[in-house]
Amino acid sequence: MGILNINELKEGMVLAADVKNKHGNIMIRQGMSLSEKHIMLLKAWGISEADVEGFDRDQLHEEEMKTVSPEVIEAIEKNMREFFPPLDGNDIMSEIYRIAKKLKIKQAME
Amino acid sequence: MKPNELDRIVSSLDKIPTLPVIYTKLGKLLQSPDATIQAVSNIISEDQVIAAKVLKFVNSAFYGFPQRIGSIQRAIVILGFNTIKNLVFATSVFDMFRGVETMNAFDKKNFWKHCIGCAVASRVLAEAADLRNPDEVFTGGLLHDIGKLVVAVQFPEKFSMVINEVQNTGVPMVEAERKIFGFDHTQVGSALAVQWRFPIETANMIGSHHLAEGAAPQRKDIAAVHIGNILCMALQFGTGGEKRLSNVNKKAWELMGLTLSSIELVMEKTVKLYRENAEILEM
Repeated sequence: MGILNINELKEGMVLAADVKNKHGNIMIRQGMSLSEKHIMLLKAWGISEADVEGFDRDQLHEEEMKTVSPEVIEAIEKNMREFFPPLDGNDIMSEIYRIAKKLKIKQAME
Repeated sequence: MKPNELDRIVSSLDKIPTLPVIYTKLGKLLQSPDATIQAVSNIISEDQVIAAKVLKFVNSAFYGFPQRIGSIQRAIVILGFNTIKNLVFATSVFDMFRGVETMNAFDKKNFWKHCIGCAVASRVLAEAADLRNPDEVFTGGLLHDIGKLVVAVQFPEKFSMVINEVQNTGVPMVEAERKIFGFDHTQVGSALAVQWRFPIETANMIGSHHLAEGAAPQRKDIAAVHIGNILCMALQFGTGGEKRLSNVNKKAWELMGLTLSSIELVMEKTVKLYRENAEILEM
């Protein structure tokens, strides 16, 4: 199971946990198989993510990354490492680095 | 540099454009007892360009209303004076500098992309941390580097020297600015915000967004702009002229009260909203 972004949700996925709104009210219950309508409603309610059975986000991303050439990835990494401060021991900056790199690679795929 | 010296410099900036009339009129109206929805809407509608942009903003994914908001009046009813005021302020200043000429050293287009990126990132952070005033944080983020633009327009040759110093040595812009000018862009920006009668919180967001290591931000909105600035640079939306990214101030991070795992969603949301906002502001 894994937490996916609202944009990654597809019809047929099964919720691994209740989807709650900002105030803690349950919108859709765990176990529900998502329909197109459900996904539309989630978006309308401003829900940004959902825990879904059987999908792992990083796995999804790994799959996607395979389509990008290693040279492009290396160029992105080099560029970013020059710009970022030293990361050892700094979990905030390391996390920002990790996500920025992921998003840059995603952008390269578009 | 003494505060009145800085004020003197800021008052003598004669190459920067004046604030649009609508901005000062709106500011005055909102402080008077005649501030009705109709009156506010009338003033905003006097500037069709700004009115149109405000409407685009309120209909954007930031607010996520299921139904389209078709008039300024309706926008005020739904979002309130404060939000609308902030949107007008933000678009006013942006528009103000649209026709201004900057020398080659200053890449205006990329500069604005950086400003929009910071505005969006700061606002997303403000919402994630449940701050009371995300639209004020948006304005603070949008204008956080306005001091750079103003100084570049007024003192182009010296500003070129600052850019070169940064490119050659990798020091932060504030350091090069202090060395060459005796003041930095956060001081100019904040003094200008005060002169333009922005809310004091906005002036503080502009003045304090570069937090020295060990310094503690006094308020969460300052922390939001500080972190938002770093996030938008990490995401490389345009450029603010820096050669190296600085560290997120630990105290600012703690003050926001967000978890490490929330950064991913914040950054993803920022990327998505950035594209939409850049379109609205016609970048």
